[in-house]
Amino acid sequence: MNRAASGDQAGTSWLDRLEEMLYSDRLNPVFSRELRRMVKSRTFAITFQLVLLLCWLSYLALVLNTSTGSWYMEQGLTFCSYLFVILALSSCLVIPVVLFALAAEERQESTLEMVVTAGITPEQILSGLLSIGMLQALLYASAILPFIAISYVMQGVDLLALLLTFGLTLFGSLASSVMGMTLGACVRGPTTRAILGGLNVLGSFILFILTASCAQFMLYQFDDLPSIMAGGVCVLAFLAPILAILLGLAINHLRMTDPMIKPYRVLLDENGDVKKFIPRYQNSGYQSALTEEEVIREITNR
Amino acid sequence: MNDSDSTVDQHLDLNTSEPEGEQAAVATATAPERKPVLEIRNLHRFFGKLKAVNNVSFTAYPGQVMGFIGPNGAGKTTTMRIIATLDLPTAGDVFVCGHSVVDDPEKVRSKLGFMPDSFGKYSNMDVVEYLDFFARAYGFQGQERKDAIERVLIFTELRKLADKPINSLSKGMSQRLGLGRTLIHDPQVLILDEPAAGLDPRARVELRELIHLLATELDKTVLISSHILTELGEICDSAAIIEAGKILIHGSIEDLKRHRPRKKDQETGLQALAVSVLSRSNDLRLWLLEQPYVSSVAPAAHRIVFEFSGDEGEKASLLKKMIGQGFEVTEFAGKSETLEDAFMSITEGIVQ
Repeated sequence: MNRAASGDQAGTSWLDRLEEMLYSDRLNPVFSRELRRMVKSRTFAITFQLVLLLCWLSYLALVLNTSTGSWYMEQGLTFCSYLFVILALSSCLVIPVVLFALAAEERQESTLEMVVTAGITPEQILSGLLSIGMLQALLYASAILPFIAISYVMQGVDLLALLLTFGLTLFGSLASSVMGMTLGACVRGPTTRAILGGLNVLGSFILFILTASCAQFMLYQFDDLPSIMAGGVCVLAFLAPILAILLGLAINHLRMTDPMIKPYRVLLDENGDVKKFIPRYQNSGYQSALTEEEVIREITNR
Repeated sequence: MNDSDSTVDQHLDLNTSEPEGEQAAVATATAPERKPVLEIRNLHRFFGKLKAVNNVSFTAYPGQVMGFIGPNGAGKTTTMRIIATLDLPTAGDVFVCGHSVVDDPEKVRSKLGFMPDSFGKYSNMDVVEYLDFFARAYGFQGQERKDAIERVLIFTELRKLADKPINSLSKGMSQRLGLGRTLIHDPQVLILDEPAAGLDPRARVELRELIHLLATELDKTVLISSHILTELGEICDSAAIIEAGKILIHGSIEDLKRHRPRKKDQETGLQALAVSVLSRSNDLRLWLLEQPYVSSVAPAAHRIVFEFSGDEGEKASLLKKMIGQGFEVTEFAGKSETLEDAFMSITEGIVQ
C-alpha cells in the first residue's frame, strides 16, 4: 500500500498490480477498508484455519471408516453433509458476530461521525460490511471446496444438490449477516452492546441450526426436487421482507441526522423573524415536545 | 424569563452597548472586502424544552482562526455538529462557502473538515490505509488519491510513520493524523473540537504551529474550540464566547482581552493594577491594605495585584507615597488582561 501511495514505480511488480486490482477505485470505500482489516484480522485467520482443520479431521474419520467398497457411496454423502455443517458453522455463526462487532464499533468508537462527514451514506456502510461478510463466506467455502470435490468423486452426491445446498448455506449466511449488522447498528453503549450481542449470538445459533438442518434435508432428500423447490420459494418469500425491514432499521440507526427528532423546519428572514414554519412528518404520529406556537414564540421572544 | 436568562441578557446589553459600528469594524478589519466562508445565521437547536443553541450568529473569513469558547454544556459542540452536517438546526441556518447545511449538506461536506473531540481509530489499519480510506470516501481516484495522501503525510510530518498501525500512535501523533484526515480533501473550512485536549506541551506547540500554517499559508478558516484559553489566545485572531446557548461576545482576541463588564466598572470605577518591588513585598501588601481607594490586594507571581477605585491623580499620588515609604518599585502598571480574565468576567457559569 505504501509503495502504491508513494507513487514510486507504481504498477511495475505483479504485487502492485494485484493490489491495484484488489483495491480498485470502483470499490465501495468501506469494503476496501474492511478488506484490508480482514487480511490482518486474527479472527479471520483463526476461523479459516479451524475450518481447514475440521475438514481434515472429517476426512481422516472418513478414511478410517471406509474400508470396503460397499460403504463407498454412503460415506461420500455423510462426508459431504459434515462439510456443509462446518461451512454453516463458519458462515452463519462466526460472520454475524464479526459484522455485529464492526457495526457496533462505528457507533461506539465515534468513527461514524467521521465517515458520515466524509460523505459515506449508511447504505454504503451496510453494503460494504455485507460484501465483506459474503466474501468471508466465500473464502471459507473455498477452503471446503477441495473436500467437497472428494465427496463428489466418492459418489452418492448429486451435483445439482451440491450447488443448491451451497446456495442455501450462503443465503443462511446472508440472513445471519443482516441480522448481525442490524443489531450492531442499534448499539448505543456497553449495556445495549451486551444485550444485543447476546441476542445476536442466539439468533445466529438458531440460523445455523436451521441452515445446517435444511442442508442435510436437501442432501438426503434430493429425490423429491419439486418439494424442495417449493419449500425454498416459501422460505425466500418469508425471509426476504424480514431482511428488508432489518436493513431499513440498520440504515435508520446509522443516520446521524434523525429526521424524527426535528419534526419542523423554521425559515427565518434577514431580521431573524419567522418567515415560514414547515411542519414535517405530519403523518408519522411523532409528537414534538413543543407545539408549533411554542417553537415560534421561543424563537421570536429570544 | 428566569434569572439565568436575565444575566445573559445583561451581557448582551453590554455587548451591544459598544460604540456603533465597532463590531462591524472588527469584522472588516479582519478581512476587508472578503466574503465570509462560514456564516452562522440565527441558529437555534432545541432538544425538547432545552435550548441548547439559542440564536447564535457569527461569521468567519478566509485565513481567520476563530476560537469558540464556553463552559461545558454551553452549546459549542452542538453548534459544531450542526456546522459539520451531523445535526439539523431547529431554526436558522449555517452557510459554508455559500452552501446551506440544511439544503446542501453534500456540498458543505466537500468544503469542510471536521475533527471531533474524540475520534475512534480502526484496529488492524496503518496510517496510510486510514488516509486512503478517507481519500476514497471523498471520491479521490488513482494518482489523485495517492497525491492527496502524500500531501497530507508531508504536511503533518507523518511520512516516517506511514506504515505504523494507527493504534500504536501516541496521542500527539493521533491528533496529527486526525488533522490530516480533515485535510485530505483540501477543505476551505476546518472545525476542530478540542484538538489540544490531552496533548503534552510539545505536541500542543506543534499542533498550534500546524494550525497557524493552515491559516496563514493556506488561507484556511479554522473554528476551534478549547478549554485551554491561554492556548487559544496564542492561536486565534478572534473568538466567540458562548454560554447557555447564546453568544455573549465575539470579536478580535485583543478586544476580548480588553473587555470588562462595563456597567460594573462604570458604577464602581474599579481598575486592576499590579506593582512589583525588589524586596519587602509582604510589607507592601500590608501597607496597600491601609490605603484609600485600594481593595482586593493579593500577591501574584513576583508582584502584587489590587483593585483601585481612585482617579488618575490619586493613582499618581499612591505611587508617590509608595516610593516615599521606601519601597523599591520596579513596575507599576495596569494588570495585563488575558483571555482567561475576559472569559471569567464575561461568563456567569450558567448551567442549563
